[in-house]
Amino acid sequence: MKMKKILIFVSAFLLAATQVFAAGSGSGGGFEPVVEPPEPAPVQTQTDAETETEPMELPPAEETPAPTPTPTPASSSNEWVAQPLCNDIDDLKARITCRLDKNNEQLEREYSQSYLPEECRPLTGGDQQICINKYISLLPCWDEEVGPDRISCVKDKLGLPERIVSPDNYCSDDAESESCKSDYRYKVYSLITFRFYDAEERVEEWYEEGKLSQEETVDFIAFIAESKVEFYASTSSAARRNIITFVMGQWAEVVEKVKSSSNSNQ
Amino acid sequence: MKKLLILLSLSALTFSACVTGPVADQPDELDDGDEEEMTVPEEVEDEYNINLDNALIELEIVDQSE
Repeated sequence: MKMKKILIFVSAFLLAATQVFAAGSGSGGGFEPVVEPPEPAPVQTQTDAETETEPMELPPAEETPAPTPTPTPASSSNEWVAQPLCNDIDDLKARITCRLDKNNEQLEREYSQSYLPEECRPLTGGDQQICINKYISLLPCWDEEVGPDRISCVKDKLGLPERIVSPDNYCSDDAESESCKSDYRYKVYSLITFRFYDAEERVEEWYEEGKLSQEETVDFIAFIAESKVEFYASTSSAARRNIITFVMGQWAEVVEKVKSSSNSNQ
Repeated sequence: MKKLLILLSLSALTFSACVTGPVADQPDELDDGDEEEMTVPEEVEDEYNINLDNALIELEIVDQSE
């Protein structure tokens, strides 16, 4: 799984490096470094239901110039044509199954063309780019061990303090307090949804180790992907709290399955 | 008669000071009471634990002033 993460990181980095870095990426709550958007084709494959979801409290989006068209890779390699992008599939579970079925090399090829995490799919324009940048910035944290080191890394990459304080305390010296609080909340929400992401990745590892079936794995990853989107779309703290509680319940069920599977294999 | 009036006035003043004194002090006590913020516990290093309890605390901390 670490290998897969490294591949994603390298691919995403290369994808970003081929684009021009945004000039003068001054203020705002975006995640540094700010990279230009990837090729637009896979991004425009959202379903109607997905596009209806309004994201909440994203930091101000930076203006991103329209991406320049590049020659299709199909002209240089027939294999690229034979391998459809999982991102182009409309159905969420089919997309997840597609990714699970690909080996590292195939995933690397896909991510070098298009890297679009599920959480970022319903977003558009600058908001989507901020979301993608966030994922890219968090990739090195997968090299850290489960627990305090990994979470400290995430806080560092998100620009959060080691000790999470209230927005009032965090932004007490900020002249533009409301915007500061909104950015800060978004970052803490991102820390929370990273824990969902962590769950998703651990389930993927258990699948690779044969502790979960493909169906169980796909169901859980799809549930987590939807939970992340719902979490950002929620307009009340109570709704966000319910989502976390629900994820806790589903996680406990998966852990039970894995433990019983491990016990029966011994 | 004058002495009686002075005595009554002083008694009334003392009585009212006793009654209103502690009440008047209360707002000051509330004002300087710095509420201690919640703290997120240390992350648990366990492959079966994704520390969602900590996520609930983090949510409560950031949403409290919403």
